[in-house]
Amino acid sequence: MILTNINILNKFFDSTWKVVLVLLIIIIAFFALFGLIGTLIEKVMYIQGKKVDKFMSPLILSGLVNDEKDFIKISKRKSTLYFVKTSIIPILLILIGLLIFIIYHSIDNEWNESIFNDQTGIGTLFFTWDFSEFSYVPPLGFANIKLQNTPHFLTSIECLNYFIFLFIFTGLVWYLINVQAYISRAIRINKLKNKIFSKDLDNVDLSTLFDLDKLNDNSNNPNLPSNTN
Amino acid sequence: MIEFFKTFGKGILYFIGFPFLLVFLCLCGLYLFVIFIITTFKNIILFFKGKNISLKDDLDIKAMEILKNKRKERLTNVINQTTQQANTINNTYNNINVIPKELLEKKEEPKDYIDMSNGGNNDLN
Repeated sequence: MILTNINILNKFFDSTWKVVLVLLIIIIAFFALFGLIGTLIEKVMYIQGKKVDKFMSPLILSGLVNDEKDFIKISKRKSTLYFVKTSIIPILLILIGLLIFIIYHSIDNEWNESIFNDQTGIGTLFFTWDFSEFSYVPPLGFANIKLQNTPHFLTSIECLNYFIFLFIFTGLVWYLINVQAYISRAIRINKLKNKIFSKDLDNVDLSTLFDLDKLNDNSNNPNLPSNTN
Repeated sequence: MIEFFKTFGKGILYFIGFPFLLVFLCLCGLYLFVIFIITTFKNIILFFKGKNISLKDDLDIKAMEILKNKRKERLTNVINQTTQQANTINNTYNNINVIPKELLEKKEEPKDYIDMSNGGNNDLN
């Protein structure tokens, strides 16, 4: 009796430790992946912010902009204009998607129709499951999940929902990338204004102000080694 | 290994901050949409008034002119320096200045009048 109990306990702990180990690896991999995606976004934002250098370098190098206020004013104006210029197409795409939505639903008069569900929307292109009778089986089992939809294309007028989703989704993602680029440029402007117009003497090369060779003249000191030609 | 742990730590921070960053991005998107509308109308009015609405304005054109002139100035300075050096050959090995043969052989043409400033002596020697 004691031996069988010990065997059961051993089996339980073996399987539990395996499950815990697998879960730990999954969690570490998940957070590491999140970290890698975050690092990638940081690098992309750095590249997007470099556009400010392209806008402002002729003005700085020619000496036409030598004041912090002017630098911020001109760079913000250019950044805003660039954002407006690059956001025209994504906003047009969103407007086209909304136009198709309004025209389609004004014809069939069904304003409650969803563009996401698996009968009339984009959900028809994916596998979907019904979780209403879902139950948990320990340690890692699931039961009573029913397959609701297999991928298929709509061939009726409802296929317009695909185009509505495509236009709006593409336009929205493009627009959000432009917003991210604007934020990156704002961060870069702040960094450059502190760097170029810095009042911190730590950033100034003092040897350009004074002739340090004369100040540190040790030619009369016999203890120092001399350079003879 | 340390880099992996740094990435893991960043991942936890990004996971916690992700909803807040998303909300911030959406709010910025809304604010910038308003800016977009205002700037578009402003640019349409300026366009019909005949003003410049592009990214490159008068200041940029002036800056490019200044940089172009600076480059030209630098180039002419370099050319002048090299032509001056070409007129005298420095023999650094023997540490003597060698005057080119053409300059040495250059003779003064005889004058067709008597130069009284030298006491009437037209001899070059």
